[in-house]
Amino acid sequence: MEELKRRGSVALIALIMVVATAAVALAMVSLSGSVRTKQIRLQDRRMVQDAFDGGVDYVHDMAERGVLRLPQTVNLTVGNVQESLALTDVSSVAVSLLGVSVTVGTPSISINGTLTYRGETYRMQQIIGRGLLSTVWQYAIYDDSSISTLSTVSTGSSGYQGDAWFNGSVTLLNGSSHIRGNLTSTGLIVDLGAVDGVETTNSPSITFPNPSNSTYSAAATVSLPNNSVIHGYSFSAATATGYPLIYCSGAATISGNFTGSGVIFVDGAVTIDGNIATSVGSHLVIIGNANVSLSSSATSLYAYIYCGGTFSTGNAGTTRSIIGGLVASKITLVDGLSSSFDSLVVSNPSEAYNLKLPGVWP
Amino acid sequence: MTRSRAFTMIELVLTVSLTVIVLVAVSGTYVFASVRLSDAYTKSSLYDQIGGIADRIQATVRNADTCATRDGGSTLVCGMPIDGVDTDGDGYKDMYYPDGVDSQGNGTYTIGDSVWFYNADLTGVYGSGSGYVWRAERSNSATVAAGDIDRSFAYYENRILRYPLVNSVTFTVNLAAKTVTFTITGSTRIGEETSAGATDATNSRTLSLTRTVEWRN
Repeated sequence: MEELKRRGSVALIALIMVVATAAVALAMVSLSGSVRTKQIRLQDRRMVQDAFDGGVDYVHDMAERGVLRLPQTVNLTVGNVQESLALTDVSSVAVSLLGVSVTVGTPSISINGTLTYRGETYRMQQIIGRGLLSTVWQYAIYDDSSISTLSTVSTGSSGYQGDAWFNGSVTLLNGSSHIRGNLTSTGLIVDLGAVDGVETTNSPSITFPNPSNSTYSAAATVSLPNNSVIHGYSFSAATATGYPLIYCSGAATISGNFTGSGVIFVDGAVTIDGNIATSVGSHLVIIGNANVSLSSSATSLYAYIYCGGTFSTGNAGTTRSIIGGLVASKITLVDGLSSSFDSLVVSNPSEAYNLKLPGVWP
Repeated sequence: MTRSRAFTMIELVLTVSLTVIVLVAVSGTYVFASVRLSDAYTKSSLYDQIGGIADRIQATVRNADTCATRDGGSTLVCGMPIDGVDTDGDGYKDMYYPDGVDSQGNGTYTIGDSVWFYNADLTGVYGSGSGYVWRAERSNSATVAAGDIDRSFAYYENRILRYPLVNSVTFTVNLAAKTVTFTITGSTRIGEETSAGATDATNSRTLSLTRTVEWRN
């Protein structure tokens, strides 16, 4: 009986040791599994962070090329990470950075990323400089066609004020032409004049806006019939919907002194029969759905001009000067053209909206 | 009949011998498994600690305006943007935003605080020796002092070392490429195979991690 007890005790000790060893082995397996899972999650997180950095670089590149529209959602894939990057302009509004509210106060974009990788969703955020806006309203001259001219073509000063953009090849045969900013073309460039900034050929295109006359008609504060003549006007103050809008249902002739900021939309041909001036701090936008032509006495125009047809100068024997910006489907020059961009609509995008610029508004 | 049920000496010796063999085998297996478990846990901790420091350095470099090395590459000093927010509540900014834009609309960043990663002894005082990796931050470019040590980086609950297994870090800066390459080394002696009068150095638990990070352009 005594021996049996001893043998039983030995067997019990052995059993306990076997169970303990098995428990340790199980713990090892479990630890190994959890460590592996943790490492994979960390690696995934790093992979996603790197992918997000790549996405931010992509947005940087878009901003530098001026092909951003805000707000905008950019979807892309970096490696095997799916990214949806929501871009918003936070230049002058408060933004929440992972729960911390801050007002940046400089032209900036908030990038809110939702990233998906191996079934998991990650959210990341970053703020970067806003870069160039992707509207046609950032150039002294935006021409949606090729141009070949013997006339002089000049633009304002360096930077925004002097940039010119052409959707097609550019042939400037007058040696007095002087682009003081960047000259960009979707085709080739032959320029016998001077370019102070960067000359870029074969650039990606920018969408040329086509404003809807019904949209502008519906927003009009004043409606005029065909063949109206507008020789100066005093616009009322802006409202919550932006600056006042004069809508002409046909052709119109425009010139004179304008007080206050406002918009003239012409659903037909526009003839500018004299100089156009605006009061200090005011801005005028002329939107012509068809051709815009300058008479010989129209030499100084303070306005943003949109031309859905052909913009032509006629022959007055003098250079036509635009201070604001010219966006045209096609430009035909007999006289020289000098244009200087008013960067208000770039430095303050809300003004571009208030001025109902095609492609920005509504 | 009663005596015939008793054990013979041979039976007894055989039983005891088998029992001892079983106990030794099971005990050995238990000890081995325990050491391996401890070793695996420590290696996992080592991996975590090295990865944790690497992530912190990477996040700092990615946001930096400029980076430079000191002390022959054992110290990294990064100039950080002046505008940012502290999103994790550790008292230091970790998400930055531009304080201006250039003529092309790209964000520009004025340098504010400088962040240091360096090797020091257990006190963490810059220049005190080596053996541990520390982070310090101050609002100007002067050399960091004891009061500039980032204690939330170094400790859990301001008292338990967060990265005790990490021994050193070295840096290389490529100014042209705007990159920082760093190598973090950590080690632990747990689980090392030893025998009388000799150490099996090939099985020492040392881990190094090298990473190259581009700073803000």
